[in-house]
Amino acid sequence: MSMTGETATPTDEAALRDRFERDVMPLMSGLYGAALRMTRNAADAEDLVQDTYLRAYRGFVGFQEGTNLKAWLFRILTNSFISTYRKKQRQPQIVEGPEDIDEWYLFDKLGARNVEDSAESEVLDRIPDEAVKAALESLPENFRLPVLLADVEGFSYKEIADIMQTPIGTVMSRLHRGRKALERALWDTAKERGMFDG
Amino acid sequence: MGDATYNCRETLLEIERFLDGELQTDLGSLLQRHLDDCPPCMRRADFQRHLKDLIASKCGGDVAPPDLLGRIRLMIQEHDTPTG
Repeated sequence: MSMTGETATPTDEAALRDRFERDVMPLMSGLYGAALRMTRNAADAEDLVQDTYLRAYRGFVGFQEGTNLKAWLFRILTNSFISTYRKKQRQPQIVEGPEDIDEWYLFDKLGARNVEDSAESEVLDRIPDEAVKAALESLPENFRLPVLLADVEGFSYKEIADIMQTPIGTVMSRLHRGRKALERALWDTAKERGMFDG
Repeated sequence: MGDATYNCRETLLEIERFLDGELQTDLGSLLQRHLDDCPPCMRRADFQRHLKDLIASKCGGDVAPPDLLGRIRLMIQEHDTPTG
């Protein structure tokens, strides 16, 4: 966000509002979905998106048209989440993350059940959406965010590093460990639901 | 350079970056060539790709509530001139 203060004339302001309406408003559902995965409840997600849009509108004058709008918005979203909702949720901040999980955790688990060739993927497909969301939301925040940004939002490592203001190597290691933790959460869910009995 | 290849160990080590589209093009082609020749590695790669797609499709697609959209639109209309 640029902090160079230029006073907008009424015409500039109208143009800015139009541009905001045209470019930023259509991205709201994507931001709302990410906010849901971050805050894990609808009321906080709505507040977080509203806060993000207010900050984005205030900073929009300094946003350079033609640069990565989605990444810019996600950086604001992530900053807002970290500065406001993390404190509010009083969630202990887990820094070290999940303990070591085997490299091919889920693949091996499914294989060990003598699931037939290439059927590992079909077991995954039967896990309901809500359970997959819950598995992602069960990850500690430092590991949930990179997985969310990479796999759900499709950001590159470099973009995630920018959004989270973390070195790219940290992004890669957290993404990897986050995915392994997610595999384990998915396995636990599938097992609890008795998905291997029938 | 021309006869560089990926073995199974190297392939599985790099598979995540490959599936994330973060390997350089030439390395990606080499890795893909190993997968084409090695069914066990291919099966693991397919599984990991499937998992990635599954997370994308099951954890996305939420729609912002219409009243949130309305509230934000109103907030912006009433907001003072943004001066950066």
